Amino acid sequence: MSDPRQADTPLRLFWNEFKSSHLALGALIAVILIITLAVLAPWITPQDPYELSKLVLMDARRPPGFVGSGGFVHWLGTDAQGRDILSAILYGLRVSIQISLTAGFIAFSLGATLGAVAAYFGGRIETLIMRIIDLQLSFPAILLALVLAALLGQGKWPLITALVTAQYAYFARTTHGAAATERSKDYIEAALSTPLSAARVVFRHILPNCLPPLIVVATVQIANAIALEATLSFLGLGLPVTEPSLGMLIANGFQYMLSGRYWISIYPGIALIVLIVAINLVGDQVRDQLNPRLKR
Amino acid sequence: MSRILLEVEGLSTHFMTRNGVLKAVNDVSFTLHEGEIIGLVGESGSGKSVTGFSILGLVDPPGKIVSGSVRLQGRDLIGMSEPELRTVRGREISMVFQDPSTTLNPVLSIGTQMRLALAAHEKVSREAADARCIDVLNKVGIPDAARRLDSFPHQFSGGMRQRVAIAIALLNRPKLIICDEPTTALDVSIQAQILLQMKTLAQDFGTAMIWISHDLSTVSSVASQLLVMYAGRMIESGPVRDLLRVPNHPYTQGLLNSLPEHARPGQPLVQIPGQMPSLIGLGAECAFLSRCTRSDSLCQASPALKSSGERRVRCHHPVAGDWS
Amino acid sequence: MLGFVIQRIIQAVVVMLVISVLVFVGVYAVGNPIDVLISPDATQLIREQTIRAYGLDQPLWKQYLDFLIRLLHGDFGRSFVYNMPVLELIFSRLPATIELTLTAVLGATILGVPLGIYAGYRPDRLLAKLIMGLSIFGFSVPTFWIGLVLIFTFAVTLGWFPAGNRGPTASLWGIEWSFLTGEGLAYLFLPALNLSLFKFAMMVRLARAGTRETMLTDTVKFARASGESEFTILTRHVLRLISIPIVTVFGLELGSTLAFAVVTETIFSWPGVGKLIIDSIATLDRPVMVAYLMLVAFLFIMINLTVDIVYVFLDPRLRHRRS
Repeated sequence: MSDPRQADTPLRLFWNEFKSSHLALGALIAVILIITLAVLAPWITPQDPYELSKLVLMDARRPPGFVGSGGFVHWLGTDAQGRDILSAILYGLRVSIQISLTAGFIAFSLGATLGAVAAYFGGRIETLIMRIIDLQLSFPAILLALVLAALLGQGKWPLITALVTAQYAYFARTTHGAAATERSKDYIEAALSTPLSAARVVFRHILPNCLPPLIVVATVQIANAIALEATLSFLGLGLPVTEPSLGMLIANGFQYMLSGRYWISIYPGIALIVLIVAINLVGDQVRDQLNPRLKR
Repeated sequence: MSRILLEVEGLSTHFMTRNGVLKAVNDVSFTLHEGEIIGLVGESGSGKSVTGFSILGLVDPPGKIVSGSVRLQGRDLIGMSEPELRTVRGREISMVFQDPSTTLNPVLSIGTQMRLALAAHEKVSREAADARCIDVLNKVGIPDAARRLDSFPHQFSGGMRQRVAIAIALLNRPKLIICDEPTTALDVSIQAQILLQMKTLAQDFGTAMIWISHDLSTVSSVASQLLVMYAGRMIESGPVRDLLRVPNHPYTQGLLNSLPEHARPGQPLVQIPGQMPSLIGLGAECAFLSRCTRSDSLCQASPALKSSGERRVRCHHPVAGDWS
Repeated sequence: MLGFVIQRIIQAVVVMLVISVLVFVGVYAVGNPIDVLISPDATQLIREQTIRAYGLDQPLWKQYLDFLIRLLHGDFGRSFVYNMPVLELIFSRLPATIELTLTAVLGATILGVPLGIYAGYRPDRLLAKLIMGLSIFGFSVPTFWIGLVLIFTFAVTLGWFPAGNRGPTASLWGIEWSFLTGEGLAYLFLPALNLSLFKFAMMVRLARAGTRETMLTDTVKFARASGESEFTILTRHVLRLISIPIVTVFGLELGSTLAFAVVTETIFSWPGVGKLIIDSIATLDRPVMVAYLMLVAFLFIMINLTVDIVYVFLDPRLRHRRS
């Protein structure tokens, strides 16, 4: 071990501690790998699962390892339309990740801004915003998303709207909590007594200090968004059938499961779970590392 | 002198941290007699608290007692099984902590907490237990103790809370109480009260004490012997009056000079330059080397502990005394 | 204490009013309800009659007021699909959901809290890591997928449990319950297990996090220094200290489990209110949607109120501040 008093940046120390947990490191690699595969899906899959004209009904519901009329091996079998499950999974991952990242980003921006504004201005504005947020948080997210998705109809943006509505409140509360603590600290008073604009103080001083807890919430919420999206799609309230996300693939396979054709549902499910578990493992490690109460 | 109660010999407690071995306590030895009060002084991080916890075998991982012995009336506590140690803790040696607002359980009444501490060692009826608790609470100066058994910690003031903690420590009439800065978190006016009361209680109960503090003036008003620690090592010890009048180690001398009562009006307070080295990867040199004005080439090797009469010092170039 | 309860009840009434506005706007004002109420090939006359009968020609605020007055009279309207009063419909389905939810949450707590305390107490042990692995799994895996796997494994492949429906029930206090018959229990088992896994994971994590933090506090060190056994420390000190967040989450989860029952009930064809709401969403049976949302909101507020009161009993610091 070299001299530990070397000028280690906090980020480097953080990374070193993160690295030492093999589980979290493995999970991080898995997340990166899955995202890469999903992004590259159109170039690496043997079949475009959305091109309905290319699907051959003769190939439908074949078990893993079957060589179909396309001349390639269906490593994970085919579904009721003769879709290659592996291709459908990668495309489905693409859809799931795209939607949850978009929803997560919007929820993050909206929530963090609301929380910071509430903490910065205080008084009536704070009370009003936080009352609404608390009220919403006391209501299960899934129910909100369910009702919204039902009211807005199927489609990408209704689904994203439902996800954002279900999630922005978590970001708002976290930001508010962290920002309210920061707000009361002396250095903010000091910054405010200078001619810096209020917006500058919020964005340059208050928000950066709220980032660590927000990052933790963000990882958890992205994983939740993926699960929620899949659940809604499973219940038939998500995306249209022409653009199957993982949840839809699983739902479509459900009826065949009872007759023993497990692969149509199980493999998309495993892909979904590996992704969510991996994100949560990364989030867990980051949370533990950022928790000051576990430090001696 | 009365009989020997506790003999600590070559005690070393290390923390196996991610960045290397942190030698929190390094080869500490001292002897404590029955009813005696010893002061353990040092700045934060000098290892004084860890020494206290090591005696009770309460070092949390990644800390570990790596060598030495702690003999309580001849029985070595190190190497004792957990169940055996448990009969020692609270019954023969108990401990009072710095901040009573964190030591007492906020959601249990003080009566419940005292009964738990009592039940850890004896099976007594509820009535007998309550009588014992009330008796001890009265002794530590809590008025109307019988009625206050059902009160919760937050209903007491800081000073009163610390008295409750002291009462719990006294409950099983231990032979030794380790006090880890028990007055630091309190108001100055209450500090003096508690200090005096603990001294009296120790005399009444015939209890020995190890009083851990960073504050030389507090310790010197209770203790008869002083032990100065620096960077995990014991660097000087001796009878309080002697040691304060003629410090032998340059660090002790620096500490004494920096006391406000030694300040001259109009002159800045004296301080020891620099700071304590990191306890990870301590070299072979004297740990005080970088801050010492008396160092020379000899100090590249850590000095051994020298003794002369009741005084001991760990320095190549003591400030005073006859250390030939 | 009484003042606190009254204050909370007033708050609850205000919240219910706000929710009624939201629900009204959400369900009635979005889209055109008349399209749902009558078939597209109805005559103009029938159309206008229906509009008048439902008060849809009135201004929105008047419609809301009528809606509110009907609610206060317990009149939630009739289900278009089942053609019966909505309240009656919901109350006939509610016991099944409550039974499922309670079984799941109680099971998750009774099992999850001790395992979580152990995992927090000895985080480096193999068993602790296994528990945490299971909990991360339960936390991450969507309920619906677990349901599928449970059905595939225990119903289709092994044939140990039925794949769905409620099975036989027995009557107690005039309500039908599954847990009173052996066969009913078999029907209850898989759905309850499915629904409880997420709660179990949550309880484990909560208890573990609380225990880990509590074990490092001076309170525990002081108890150890007093010679108290580790068992006493865990059961008397730690459990009491972590019980406050656990009770909160228990209460909140009771409510959200009612919501999550939607998924489980759909998969297992469990005839509860969750299945009812999904069917109603599919058929746009608005009165049922409204009643369900109002009911869940009401349950939520009642649970929150209870949690707040239980809090005061658990945390003496709150008790004395309020009195």
